[in-house]
Amino acid sequence: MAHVLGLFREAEAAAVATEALQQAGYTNENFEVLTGSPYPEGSFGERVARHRLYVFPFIGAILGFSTALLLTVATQLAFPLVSGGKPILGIPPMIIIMYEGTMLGAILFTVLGIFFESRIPNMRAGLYDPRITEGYIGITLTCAEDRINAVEQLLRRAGAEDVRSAQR
Amino acid sequence: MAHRDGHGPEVTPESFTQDALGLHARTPPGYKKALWVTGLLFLLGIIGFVLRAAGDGFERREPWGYFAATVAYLLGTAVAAPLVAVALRLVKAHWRRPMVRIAEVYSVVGLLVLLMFVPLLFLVPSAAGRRTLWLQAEPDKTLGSLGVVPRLVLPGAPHVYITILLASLVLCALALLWLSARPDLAMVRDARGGRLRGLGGWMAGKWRGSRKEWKVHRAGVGLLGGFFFLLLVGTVAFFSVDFALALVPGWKDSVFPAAQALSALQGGLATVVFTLYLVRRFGHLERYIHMEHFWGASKILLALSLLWFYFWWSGFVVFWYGRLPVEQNLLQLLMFGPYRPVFLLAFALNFLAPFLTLLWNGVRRSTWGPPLAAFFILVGTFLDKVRIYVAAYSVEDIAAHTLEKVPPAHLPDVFDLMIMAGGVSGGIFLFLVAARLVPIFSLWEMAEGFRLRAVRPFLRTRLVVLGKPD
Repeated sequence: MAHVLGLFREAEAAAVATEALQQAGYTNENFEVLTGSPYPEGSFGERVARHRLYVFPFIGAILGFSTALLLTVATQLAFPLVSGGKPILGIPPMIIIMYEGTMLGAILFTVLGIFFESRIPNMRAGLYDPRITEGYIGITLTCAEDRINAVEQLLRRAGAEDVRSAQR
Repeated sequence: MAHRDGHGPEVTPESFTQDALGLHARTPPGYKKALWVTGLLFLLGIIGFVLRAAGDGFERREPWGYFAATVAYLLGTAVAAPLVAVALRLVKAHWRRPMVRIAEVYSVVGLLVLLMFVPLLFLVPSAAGRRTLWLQAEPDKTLGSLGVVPRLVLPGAPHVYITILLASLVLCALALLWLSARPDLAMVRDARGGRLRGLGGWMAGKWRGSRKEWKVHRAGVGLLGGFFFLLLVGTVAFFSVDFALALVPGWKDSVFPAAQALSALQGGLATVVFTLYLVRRFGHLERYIHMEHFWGASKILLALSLLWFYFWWSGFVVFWYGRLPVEQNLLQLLMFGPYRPVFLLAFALNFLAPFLTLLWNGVRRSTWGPPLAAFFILVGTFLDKVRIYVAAYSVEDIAAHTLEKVPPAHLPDVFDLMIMAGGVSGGIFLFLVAARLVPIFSLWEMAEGFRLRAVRPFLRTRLVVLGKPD
């Protein structure tokens, strides 16, 4: 397989290129749009990217809450002192520690989730060009090695200022 | 670049990014001077702290009142500042863009607060045998009048739990700063030249700007922002309970923690607005920071100043109307006794001065009015922390049933002055260092803003038209 990167000065040209790629039979699974600042979703006719980041804090929060609940319940049951006829488990003060545990678990798992979903550390990041952070739009494409020339021509016809490729 | 009916000069995302990266690559002489001055004052503060610890140790709380007030001040201003970025992003306020990174960079002050917090832990005794929010108490003591009755032993209260809260808050703030700045660090990495290029690249973590990376970035910033908000309110509230309220016998006030949390919102916004003014003035960034940015913030600042009064009044009127001996003593200790001048100044600067300043349309709609009000608030908040924490730390017997005698005013000595100056300067020093590593503008957010904003003619005038993707 080979990777091709086309660099576009104008966003409109990049949008034209993604349309041309789709007409040539490439799907959203094959190409990726790289930008230095965020563009509204669908600006380039690309599919909406999916992620599972929201699952991570949810799991972290459940784990943190459970740990805090276990800690507070276990310590109170270990010293079952009844005062003033009140129940052994004092819920209101337990809430503070359960809140702390929930938050800490959610934060830690969110950070983990960001690392996981962003593939950090990404040792095999695809093609990239520093001009993307200067405002250029990059379109990277994975294709068969014998299709490199055709893809490069397609990108250039759409308005790419520069096209690079690499084989893996 | 031509001005367009007072809507600011026309800027393209590309020209802004190049300009901002150029600014980031340079360290102006004035900036270096500020680094030196704040660094030296920070050092002076460390010396003051060491001398205080060597001379007085950690047995008595009274000598540490001003130290505690400084920690509370940093917590209620600089550490709270990232909330401005979080809240304004949440409500999608477009005028937020030049100030969000300033707010986020203040996250690094959390590290200093976390360090300064450690000695405070030695000054507060275990929760055993006294009124606290926590679960720990000696089994033979009855604490039934609290409503919530902590009667069982949970090890480490209150120290362990307040430390977990503060550490979580700082971790969350730093994670938010890193995540939010990642695309900008990639720009620093890719920019030609600049000594900080390698570090930027390392922190950017091979950011490429793919659609998925942007999507995860946006979701992560939203999630961490939400957690930061939830944690900040809790941390400030519990800190004020454990390190002030619980140290004064008979001080039972459910409004006080909420008032302190509200004060942190006010202090955080004031910190950002005042810093925005300094960045604009000394960074010569008038073309990017306009009246509309201060105007937007001024309305919230005005509302928070009014709320400050409302919360203070709600707490005060219960004691004033109750008139029990302990309540009268508490009012003497905290407001009208030995710390009356400090309280009156704090009241004037936290409420009266910003209220009377921001009341006027012309002042609100200026680039100097809101920063002036913010400056009042920053000074007022410091005085407010002094009258609360120094007063609380001057009470000897914290396990007594009520406050029977109001201790005299504890005036600052040389070490206290060194610690206060050093603590505040240390916060500014860390901010200045961090602003050299991370661009002071959120480059990606500013570029997005320029792309989504246009000025269009409408009848005989010209209006700003905003693109709203969501």
